[in-house]
Amino acid sequence: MMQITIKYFGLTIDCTSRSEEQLSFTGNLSDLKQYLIIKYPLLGQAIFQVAVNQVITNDSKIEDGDEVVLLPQYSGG
Amino acid sequence: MKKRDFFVDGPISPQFVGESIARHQKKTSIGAHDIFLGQVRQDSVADKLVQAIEYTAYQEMAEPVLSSIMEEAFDQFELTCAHVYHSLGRINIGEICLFVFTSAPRRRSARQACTYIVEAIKEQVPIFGKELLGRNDYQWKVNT
Repeated sequence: MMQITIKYFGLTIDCTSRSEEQLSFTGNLSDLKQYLIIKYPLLGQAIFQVAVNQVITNDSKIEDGDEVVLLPQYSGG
Repeated sequence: MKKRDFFVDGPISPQFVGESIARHQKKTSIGAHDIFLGQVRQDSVADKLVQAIEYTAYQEMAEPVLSSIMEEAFDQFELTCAHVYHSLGRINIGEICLFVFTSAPRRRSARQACTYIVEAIKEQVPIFGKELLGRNDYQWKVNT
């Protein structure tokens, strides 16, 4: 099992009622997204990108100790 | 490039903007400044009015992204210096939440760089605005 940190921002906080959690997980990024959508069904309707270790990625690999962050549309300024 | 402080807690005061201009008067190669100030607008949402925006950012990612935006601006335009300040926390309507300040020998570079930086911030930097509508109601801001 890998230990990963997941952080949520913006709308994804509303979908999960949390801003951060630690997870023991086995699988790739697609598996993780599926897992999170099952755990938090509202995420299934949200549009978000995923950053792994501060970089936006579609790469499916996750490693032990990674920080995975769900980022909805930016609204700075 | 040295590490910069991009984020400030709370609103950006008009005094700070004025002092920033004053600090550049010693840099005598500058012939033009451009300034962008983002102000929190009182939008109306259904029958409610925005009272404030509460900003959060994924700072561990936002800071390197902002640094690379600044490096790109220096590569593309002939700049003497450039500064960016974005608020975090609650910013009431009418208060300043974004201050972009570019200085160059000539106006064209200053103006183009300022526009480039503002647009890049809106597109690339993970900052999130929660529009507070009063009585515990809110909506997440969407940039247009």
